[in-house]
Amino acid sequence: MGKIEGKGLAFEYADGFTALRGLDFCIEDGEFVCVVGHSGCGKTTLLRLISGLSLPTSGELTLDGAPIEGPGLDRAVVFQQYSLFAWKTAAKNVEYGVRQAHPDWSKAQVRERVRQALADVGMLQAADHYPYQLSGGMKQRVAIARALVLDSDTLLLDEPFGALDQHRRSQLQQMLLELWGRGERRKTVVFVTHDIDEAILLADRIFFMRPGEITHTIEVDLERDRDAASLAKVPRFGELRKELIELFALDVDQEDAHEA
Amino acid sequence: MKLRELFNPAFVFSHVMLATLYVAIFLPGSAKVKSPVAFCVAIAVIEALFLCTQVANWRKGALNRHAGEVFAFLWAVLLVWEVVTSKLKLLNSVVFPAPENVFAVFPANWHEMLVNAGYSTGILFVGFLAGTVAGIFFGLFVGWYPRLKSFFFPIARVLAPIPPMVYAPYVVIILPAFELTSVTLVALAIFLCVFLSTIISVSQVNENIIDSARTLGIRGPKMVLQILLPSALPAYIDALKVNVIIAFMMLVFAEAVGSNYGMGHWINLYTHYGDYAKVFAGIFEMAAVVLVVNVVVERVQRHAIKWKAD
Repeated sequence: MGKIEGKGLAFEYADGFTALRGLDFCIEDGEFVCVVGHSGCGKTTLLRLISGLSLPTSGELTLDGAPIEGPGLDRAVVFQQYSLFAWKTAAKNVEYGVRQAHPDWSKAQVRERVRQALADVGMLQAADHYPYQLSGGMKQRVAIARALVLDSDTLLLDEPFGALDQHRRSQLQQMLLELWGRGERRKTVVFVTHDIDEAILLADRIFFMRPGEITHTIEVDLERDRDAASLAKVPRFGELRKELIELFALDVDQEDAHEA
Repeated sequence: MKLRELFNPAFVFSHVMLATLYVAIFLPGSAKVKSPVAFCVAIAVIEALFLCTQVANWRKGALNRHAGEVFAFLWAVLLVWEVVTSKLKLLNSVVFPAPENVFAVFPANWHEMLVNAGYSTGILFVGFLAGTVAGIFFGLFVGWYPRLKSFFFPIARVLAPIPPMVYAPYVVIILPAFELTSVTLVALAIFLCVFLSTIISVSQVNENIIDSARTLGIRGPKMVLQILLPSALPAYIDALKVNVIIAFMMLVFAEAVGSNYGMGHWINLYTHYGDYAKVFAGIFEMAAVVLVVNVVVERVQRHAIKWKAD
């Protein structure tokens, strides 16, 4: 049994638009899966279903064998924007997460966990800053810190670095990989992105989506301990990249043909 | 900041006008007026406040170079008033009392005026607080739960434009005390405004904030009080000054209709007696109280949403 399983998963919006059509997939425990595809193919919808923010119209979606019936602390989510509460400082945002996950902890325990989480993401010096005082990259670091303090087994990220420049994106990718690789047990991660290089850098497997369905599953058989600079020189990286580019290009050609 | 920036043209001009005003006060005039001492002291107090504010801002490097223009205008208005009434007696002295007679009301009736100011401010505070708390509390829950919203929102939209003054005679009859009447009318005026605006604010809260909270296990009353309330706060704080004005207007009306105390009662009473020096004095007293309340409101605004970008 996989960690997250979908069988015949479908989702239709109230206006009748079908976002997902009969998806079947399995994500194993501790696996890092990236979901890629063009805008509007259903990546975010899939993530919303796994997070429980939306419920499927039909089909099954389970987490550890139990149906997903709503959001919960067992699945931490990081959004692209507006994850943080503007009226709380960085430390208070993280503290909020700690208190939700561990309501019986003492003040000292909470304080220490917050300090550790902010240190892990390199944001200790900005603990007392409000979100409006932070850059986009800094906000996402704090959002990741808040997600990690929930100590959930599953981490869901919806294009968390999409609004950042390349340099900051690289920094946060490395930070995420390092944090994910720590500890005895790795979290199960579902990461939505439209960036091919990012997907290959981060993932164990990549789900390629076309509108409403997962059409290809690509194994990323590269050594762990990856970094963007050295990965570019690895021949297998080039092959995977070419494969994904061709899939994207095919999508565009089919779309153009359809419109014509 | 350099000292010469403090003595900018507007600052100098305002003091030229001030000097002219003082000279005019002590010139002989046609009308028989009371001692100018109270008038001079009032001018001196306003000038002292202006100077203190300007120096304080200059030290912080935040000098308002145009503040002098406002005060120059103020001194000019007082100068015209002084010349037209006290010096040249061009207007009816009963309906347009000289400034000396108006400001002489303050030392002669300071105790009663102080009691009135305290009474009005107390009513304002209690009524405003009651209306605001009720408006925000109910507005949050009605805004969040669709069933409640579909029922209450249309009703509130119909009731809100009706001026609470319309209910005043009825409220006076059914409530046992004038204080309760005043508080109720102020609270009612504020409640409907705040209730409606809170419902609208809830609908404008960013969906991602709500999703973010849901993924942290927040739902129900916790969502309303811990997430929607702070999210909707900036909109309410921005409207605070307008709501204070509405509350003040209602307060004055309520006191005029059914009270034995208060600034509104004072102005209404002496209007009936035709003692316009006291009416003017009452208006100035109200202006001073409004100014103080505005300063407090600005401090509240700055502190309450210090987490929001300017």
